[in-house]
Amino acid sequence: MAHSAQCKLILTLHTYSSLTTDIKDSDGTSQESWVNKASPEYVVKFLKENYPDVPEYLYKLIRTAPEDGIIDWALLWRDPQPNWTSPLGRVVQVGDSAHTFLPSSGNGAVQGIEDAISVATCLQLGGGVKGGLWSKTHNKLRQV
Amino acid sequence: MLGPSAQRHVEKTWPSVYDAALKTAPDPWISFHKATGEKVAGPTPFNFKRDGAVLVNEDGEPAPDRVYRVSRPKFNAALLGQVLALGIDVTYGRKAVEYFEDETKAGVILEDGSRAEADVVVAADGLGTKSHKLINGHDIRAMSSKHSIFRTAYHVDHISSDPELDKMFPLRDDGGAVLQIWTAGDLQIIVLRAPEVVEWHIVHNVS
Repeated sequence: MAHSAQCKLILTLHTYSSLTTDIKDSDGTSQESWVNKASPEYVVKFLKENYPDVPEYLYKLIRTAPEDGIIDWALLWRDPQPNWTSPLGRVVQVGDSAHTFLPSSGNGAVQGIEDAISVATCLQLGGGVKGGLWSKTHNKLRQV
Repeated sequence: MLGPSAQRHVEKTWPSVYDAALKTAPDPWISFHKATGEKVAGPTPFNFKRDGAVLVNEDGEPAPDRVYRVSRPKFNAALLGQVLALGIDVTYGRKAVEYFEDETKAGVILEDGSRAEADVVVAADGLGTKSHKLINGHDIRAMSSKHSIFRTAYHVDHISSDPELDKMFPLRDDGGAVLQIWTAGDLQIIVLRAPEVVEWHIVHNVS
């Protein structure tokens, strides 16, 4: 950017349960969270009870996982939104904030990086932050 | 997974991130299986298709030639290293609860009531972002898909040292990674066998 810019990064780690509806699996234990764990034995028991076709050697694979290393992540729907930028154009959503990916889609990292490239380019070429033209341009180009 | 658009950008623009996290990342081929583990097809490399035809790159070869399975810890560490190298101030463990803006600035209100202000704020706080209220005028409700996913990743030692698991979840002949996808009804099992790590995901019904 042409003018001097100060940049600050605030990193947060949180669970997302505050915005979610109640998600119940057989034990009511799934959450949309990186810290919600299931033990290997829980997964094996779950498969045995629900999917009897699965072979023995898959149980063996599951039991090689660390005891506290399996995450049970609830897959939740969210309606896509038409806007990723605020009315005055000073706040912009990128990555999973902007998109409604499920982790099983395997596309979150790419979209986040593409968002970052687009935000940086529009900030650089968008004629300054006042008026928010840069972020409206970003939103327009990325929504297509 | 990291596809070609992001790969190319990182390689060209952030070479140290590329070297640290992408250059040696596994590039799995996919094989398809029944829920019994029986193989139906593959393994085959990733190909993007349009109208049923495989897309080709500038050299007329199937594109992309590589899709990376990136290690989150390695990629995060490389990005953080770049941030620190640029002299950007990093604050940890603060929870954003609300976003705001006016004609001259934008900002975030944090859980402890303190405020952080800037010319521009990038809301990258993920699926549960608190920015929807400012941006779309309302919070976004999450709805159950009636499915959940068990997911894990760890070092490959316990697989490579077990003859049965090593045989059922093998690497490619050239030593590359293989991603097995098992499907039946509402069950999907994905097992990645890579040279250094094993990862598995089980998408399952939630009763």
